[in-house]
Amino acid sequence: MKFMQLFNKKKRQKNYEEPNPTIADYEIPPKPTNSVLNTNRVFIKETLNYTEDLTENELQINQDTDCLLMFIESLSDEEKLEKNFYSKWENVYSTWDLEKVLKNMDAIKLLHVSDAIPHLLEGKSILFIDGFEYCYSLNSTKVIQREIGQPDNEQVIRGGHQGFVEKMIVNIYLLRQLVHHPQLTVRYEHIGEKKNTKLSLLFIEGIADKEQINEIGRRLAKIKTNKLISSGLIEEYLEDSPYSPFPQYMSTERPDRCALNLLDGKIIIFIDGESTALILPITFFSFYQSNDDYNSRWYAGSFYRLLRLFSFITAVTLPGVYIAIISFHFEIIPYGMTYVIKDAVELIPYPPIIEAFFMELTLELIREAGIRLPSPIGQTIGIVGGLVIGDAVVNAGFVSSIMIIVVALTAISSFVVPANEMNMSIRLLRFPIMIMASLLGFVGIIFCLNLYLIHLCKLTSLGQPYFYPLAPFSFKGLLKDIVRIPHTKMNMLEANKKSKNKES
Amino acid sequence: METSLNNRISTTQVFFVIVQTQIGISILTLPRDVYGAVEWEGWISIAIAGAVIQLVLLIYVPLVFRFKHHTFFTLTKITLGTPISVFINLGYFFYFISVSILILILYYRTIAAWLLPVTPKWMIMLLIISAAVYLVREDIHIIGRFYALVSGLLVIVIAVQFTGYTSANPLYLLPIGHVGIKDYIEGAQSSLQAMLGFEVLLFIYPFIQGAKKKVIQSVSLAIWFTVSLYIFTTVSVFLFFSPDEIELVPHPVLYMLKAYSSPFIDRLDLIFISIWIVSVTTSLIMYLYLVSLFTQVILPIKKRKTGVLFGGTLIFAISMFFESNESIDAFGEFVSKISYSFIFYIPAVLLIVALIRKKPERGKE
Repeated sequence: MKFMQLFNKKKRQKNYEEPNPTIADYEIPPKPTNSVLNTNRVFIKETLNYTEDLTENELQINQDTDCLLMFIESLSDEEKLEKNFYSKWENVYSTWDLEKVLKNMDAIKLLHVSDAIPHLLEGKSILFIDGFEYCYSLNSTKVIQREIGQPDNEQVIRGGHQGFVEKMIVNIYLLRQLVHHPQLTVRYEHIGEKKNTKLSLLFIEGIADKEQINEIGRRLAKIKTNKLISSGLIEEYLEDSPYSPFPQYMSTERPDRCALNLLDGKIIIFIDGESTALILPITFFSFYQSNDDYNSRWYAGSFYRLLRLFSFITAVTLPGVYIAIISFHFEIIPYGMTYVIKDAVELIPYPPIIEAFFMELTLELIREAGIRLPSPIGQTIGIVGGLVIGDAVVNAGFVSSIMIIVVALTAISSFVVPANEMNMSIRLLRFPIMIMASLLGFVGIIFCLNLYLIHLCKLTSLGQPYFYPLAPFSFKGLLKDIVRIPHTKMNMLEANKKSKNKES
Repeated sequence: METSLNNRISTTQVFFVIVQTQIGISILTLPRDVYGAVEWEGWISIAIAGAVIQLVLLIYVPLVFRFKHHTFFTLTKITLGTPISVFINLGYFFYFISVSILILILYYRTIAAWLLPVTPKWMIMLLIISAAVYLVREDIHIIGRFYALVSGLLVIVIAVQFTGYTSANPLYLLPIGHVGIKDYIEGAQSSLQAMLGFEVLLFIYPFIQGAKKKVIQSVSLAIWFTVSLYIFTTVSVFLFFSPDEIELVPHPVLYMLKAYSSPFIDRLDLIFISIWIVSVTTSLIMYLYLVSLFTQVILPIKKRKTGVLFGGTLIFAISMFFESNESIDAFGEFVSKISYSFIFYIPAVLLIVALIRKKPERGKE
């Protein structure tokens, strides 16, 4: 017992001593603005540790009042300053005039020079006037942003080609452009130990569930980390079961996807500095929907949705089924196929599980190697990996050609799912099935699938059942989420949706 | 044993719960079991058994509806007093444990015979019991969702049997009426084991959300769905095998599917048995759920989740002791004998006592 206490104490101490990697953990003691200009200048310079991109500009009014403009040149837009401030300086003959000019360009009056530091760090300029016990903060923030382009990993054939950028305000703008709903509400939250990460919650009052919004607020308040907060971290805090292999949120860079979900009663979270939006709560089948479904003929839309779901089953079970058949249930192979498969498998020295693992891991390696390389090299790796290794490995007699077909089919199936995080889960889910199939054949596969299904039935996303509309079963939800019935019919379902949702 | 509002199941889910609990281990052997008693007229016996169960439902419904806010435990307590109720609940606890054990060992026997003859027993059993424990830890509405989900597999169970009709001989079903009424009853008795599962209504009624009428409807529908599926299976088998053959095959459904061959797939029995494993799991899950409910009231286990783990371990441990086929068969006989008391006599007595006594007040223990 005592030992445990000691251990805990040690641990706590260690946590305390850990160096803080935060940006804004530097506490500035409050200091009022001094009427002597130089004192303020020294204070700011000392606080910013004589950084060399701190620029100061000495100005004079009527050649008797000294003024000092300070800004960080890397953060401030000098053109903006020139247009809004310097050009008007010529008309300033007294401090009275100056205050008038400043009022017109939404300057903020600051009584404490210590308050000026965060402003400086945001890119604003600080104007000190000799003899005044306050200073002004002028808006000169430099805005550099990426162009609103099509997100690379979520392309559509038909529909809007805009994607989110790293600026939260721009993202909210993009969303508001699509959703002109008076009840569209934006809530800003500052999270983290030092409240230094800004994020926004978007929902439509009256459509979104109030309980869920409160729940998100409660969970966000729990985030007690002082690291830079990323969407991945927020996701984990927001999840109902962080140990599940399935993603319980959806991240997207597409405003139209967000808009559709928003109107469906979902909640969107933007994080400042990230170009992905999180959508909550989500169901399993939302990952298998693409915006293209809604823009194509409904037969085609439904067909491709079902195809994607089929791809889920293939991606998870196909290698396992092949292993089970080759090692246990070769009787299931029809007569005509027997010799084809026998020829391919007979001379392979390894059991099918080793073959499968070898090929699956090779494939994962190729994918991982190619994914972050510039595309010309990535293609080369694809060719070397896919064609050369695939061909050579069969010719060398390590792996049967049927195994190559199986692995390739599985890989293609696993890339069909439009969402990246689901894709990752699927690829991991097939390994337990492969192992169980090699140990117990079909019994092992059924066991694994049983567990997966039970898990999917148990799983919730913000308290909403994850496997809806299959568990709990809802026929109307089936028509809406699994196939795509025509839009004209969909409206009828929407009207009944509220009453249907209440049944469990 | 509290019932809170948000973990109730709908009447549709009740249908799936009953169907999935009923259909399980016995679908493989049922045609042969009834054949032993009434030969090729077995499907009539199954229909009779269905009608009898429909009558038993008439005992259950007034009983549970009279105590609609009470669980089975408090129900027995009110009607019979504490000492007897503890005794009866202990009886039910052991009954459910026995049924679970029977399911588990019959499942092992079939898997060992058809798929994995040399795999260690504990491993095959552990697979299914761990899946069951994993689900039973959740509330009944999650179980209901899972049951509704896997009921989609019943389509395959029905579909694969149509392959048997490629060589069906309608004359095998004739003549009708060659045995006496007594034989029909005997056949109905031998199909009782396959019908077990409807009795869960007694225990899950407080968790059901829906009007009395709707509950009766969906339970009756579930019973007749199961009976129809059994009749369909039995008739398919009887049409496929001649009366002489059927006595030789222990699992006629599987042998029927085994005979089918196509250029696309062979040995449909392997597909069938894989789906059958899911059906067995669902039956086991329901009985384990009932066991866990009883662990809460008769054992000093506060949390149901602990009870699940305890029940699962107990069932698994006891199942390991059954080695010989004779002991398994004897145990099966024993379970179907005692099940008469637990699904028929005790509820009947409870109903009579409850009718004599006054109606309980709401929420009073």
